[in-house]
Amino acid sequence: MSAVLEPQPVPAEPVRRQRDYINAAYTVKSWLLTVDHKRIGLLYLAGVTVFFFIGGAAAVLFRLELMTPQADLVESETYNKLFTLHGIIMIFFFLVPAIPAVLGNFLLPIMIGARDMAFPKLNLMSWYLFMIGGLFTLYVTIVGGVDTGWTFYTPYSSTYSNTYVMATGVGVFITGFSSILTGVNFIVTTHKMRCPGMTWFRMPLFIWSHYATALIFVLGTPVLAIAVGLVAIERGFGIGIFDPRLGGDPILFQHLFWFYSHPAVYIMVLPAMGVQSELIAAFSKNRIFGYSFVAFSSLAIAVLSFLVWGHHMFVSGQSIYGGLIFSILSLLIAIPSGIKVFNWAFTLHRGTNSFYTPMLYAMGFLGLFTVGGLTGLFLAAVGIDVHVHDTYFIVAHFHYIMVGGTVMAYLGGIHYWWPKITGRMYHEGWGRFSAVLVFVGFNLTFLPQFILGYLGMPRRYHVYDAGFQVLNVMSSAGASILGIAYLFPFTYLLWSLKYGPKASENPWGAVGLEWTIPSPPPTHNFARTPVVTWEAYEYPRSNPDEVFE
Amino acid sequence: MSETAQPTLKIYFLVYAALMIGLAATVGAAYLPHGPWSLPAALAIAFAKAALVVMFFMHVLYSPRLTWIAVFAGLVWLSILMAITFADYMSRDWIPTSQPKTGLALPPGAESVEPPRAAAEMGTVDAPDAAD
Amino acid sequence: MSTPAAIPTKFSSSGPVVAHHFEDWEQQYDSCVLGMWTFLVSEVMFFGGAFTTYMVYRWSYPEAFAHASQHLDIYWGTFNTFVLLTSSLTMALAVRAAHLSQSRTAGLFIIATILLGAAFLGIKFYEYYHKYEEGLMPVFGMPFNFEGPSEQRGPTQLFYGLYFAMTGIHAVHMIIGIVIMLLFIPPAFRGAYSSGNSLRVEIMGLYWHFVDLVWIFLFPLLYLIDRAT
Repeated sequence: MSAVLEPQPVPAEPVRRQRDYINAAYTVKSWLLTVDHKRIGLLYLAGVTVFFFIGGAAAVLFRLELMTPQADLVESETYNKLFTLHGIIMIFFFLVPAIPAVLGNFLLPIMIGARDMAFPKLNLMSWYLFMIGGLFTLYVTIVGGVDTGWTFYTPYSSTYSNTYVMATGVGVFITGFSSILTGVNFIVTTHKMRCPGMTWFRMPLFIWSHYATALIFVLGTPVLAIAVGLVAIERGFGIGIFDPRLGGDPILFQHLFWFYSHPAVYIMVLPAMGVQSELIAAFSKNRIFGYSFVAFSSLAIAVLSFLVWGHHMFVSGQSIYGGLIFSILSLLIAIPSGIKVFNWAFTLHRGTNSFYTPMLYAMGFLGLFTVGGLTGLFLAAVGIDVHVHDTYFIVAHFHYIMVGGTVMAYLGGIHYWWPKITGRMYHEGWGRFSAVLVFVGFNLTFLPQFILGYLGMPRRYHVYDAGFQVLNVMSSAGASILGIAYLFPFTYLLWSLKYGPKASENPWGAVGLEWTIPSPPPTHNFARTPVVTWEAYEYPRSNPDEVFE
Repeated sequence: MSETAQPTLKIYFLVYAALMIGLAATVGAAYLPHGPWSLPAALAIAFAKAALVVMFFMHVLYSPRLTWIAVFAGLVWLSILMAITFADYMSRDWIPTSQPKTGLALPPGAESVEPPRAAAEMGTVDAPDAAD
Repeated sequence: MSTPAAIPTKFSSSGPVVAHHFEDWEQQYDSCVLGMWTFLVSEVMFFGGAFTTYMVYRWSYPEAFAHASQHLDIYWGTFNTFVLLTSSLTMALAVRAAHLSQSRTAGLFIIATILLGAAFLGIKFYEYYHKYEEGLMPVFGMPFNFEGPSEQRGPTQLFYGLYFAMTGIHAVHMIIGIVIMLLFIPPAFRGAYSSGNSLRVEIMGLYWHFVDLVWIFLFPLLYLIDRAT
């Protein structure tokens, strides 16, 4: 491996434009019928970006409504539709696919030295299923929407709601197959397509995270499919399955739903943790402390995530003994996440740290994910959860992880790999400014919500007690800052496509197979199949006498 | 790693015969007075038939270890789903409360419940959204 | 005694065809088989959710479920199980023929599998129609012709709801399998499944056997709860 260089965002001399995966062909058909995993990653990037802004628009609207205690901006049913839309779009069409389908698709084969995924055409089909499901769900929203909340709880969703539950369920069902097929692709590619010398324990931790995520895709998503499918069948065919009047149990739906939806939150966070490992390693120029612990923690999180779903159901009517067991297991699952946080922190310690934009996002992730995770511990304790369930405390908790964690990691990853993906460098000043603005806006939005929830403000309500208004206004103000802050990267990243300086092969001086190929890479990634003889993150130790293991 | 071993023709037909015997057994068992053993017996025979199909028709007996791991993962995860869900239902009435001790039950007065047609006529399912 | 297999994007008579992104046919074969197995694991979880629903309700309402089960036609159900198990055999024999480069024989066995699968579906839809005639199809608010203790009425409807939902989803899987197998017939008779290019048939076989596996559990759970009383 070459010696580690200092980051050189601007190359010393102009780079001659080689034939790469972008200029390989320019037709629309070559993009829409591509089987190149890199192009498919970009197709996903376009899709998730559109959905992100639509889901964000819904949030803008209901945060505006929440500036006042009365219902003055929208009617009740519209408000219900808005937060439902926000949840469905953000979860299924942004958070679940964002890192795995954009960065995972682009980088996984390259990081293991492969020419493509195991099933390139299946990969393309995944994208089409994602877009069809997403666009169909959007269409359903436009013609009337759904007001059940993204959780579709029965019997409201199956019997009483007058909105497009079945159609939305079908949209989510279709998109679920996108996830499952992506999971199949990731698992098989990781098992079978590693280049010579790339053993499991030489792989970047990004791969371990995505492999663990893929396990959840395959094992969990189908149960959501059947849960939503049974509700759709119940509505569409008038069959009673969760109908209490026939002796059906609405809680059974919740069991099926949360069996997926809890692991789903780890689908959303595990890839982010994978990105985090890469960012921390690259910008502290250090091996990740306790590599194998982090790798096994990813697998542990994936497995344990399937054992804790009842913590969403403590007050639903579930058995109290079940609740206790779920509570204990939910506390245990914090351990592997905690191990990772400690290991990242130790990596920073004694690293040669630089604070480029991706690192700022990584630092943000470190702190905000920790807050989100710790509040998760509070919620795992039944005694606290019964008081704050369905309040803004929950909302704040999961936004700290989803937005403070996943979105920050996503943005960090986009910035870090932007030069590799596009061959251009973005403007570092704007990057840093935006990262800080996102951090400030985010905390102003969601920190007050912890207090609101603790004080008792329920979620999914658009009228509230006047005493809550100050905190709500703070939250809405933060949301507007956050919304604007997200527009900055969108703008300067697009701008850099045409005007940004051309990037070299390894502008960050990082270690990894992706940094040994041109920026942007050629269609087949590697001119010759690499043969790996080095360990992951083989940065020269800053103090050779120190040996951490 | 790629397997070339296959079951022989004779094995395929033996497995088929065993499946037929299993079919006869499971139907026959249903007619025998069995009390609470109905479900365990049916499941045992079904698992035996399934094992034959998986091992021989699907070649798992001749497949690499990774295939076995995939099969076991599926079984384990299905068990997790069923076991923990059942644990909820079975333990719901362990706690002494003033509520009636039942797992699931019809709501009081449900004996006179009409089929879903009644619900439609109440106008709750018959919503203005024709798309559903 | 059987030739190693590989995936076809097109076929050639000089040995198995390897797609461009694979290093060799062994990687291709292993990947495709693992890929189908991974997908089947997801299908186990999909049907598993439905089976869980069924088991919870059966556990809660044992008498209602037992009585309702007795109204399903055991003769057609048993015969259908026989048909599907036989289709599994013909599918296995199709895979074997493809491995032995007997492409035309493989095609014949695929046709047999399709015919048996279609017979299964035909019988299934006849059973559905029979239930509709009996008034035991609680769908679209149709009258539910229930005779029995009134507290069993609701759970009996749950039983039938699950019966139609689960066998319906199973039937959809069979239809998909049959449609794909139809696409295999012309290549089979053009000699495509020879020279090691049997991977496609093998993968299809795995899917079809899985569909059979689901029925192996559905049949006793739905039809055979209690025939002793």
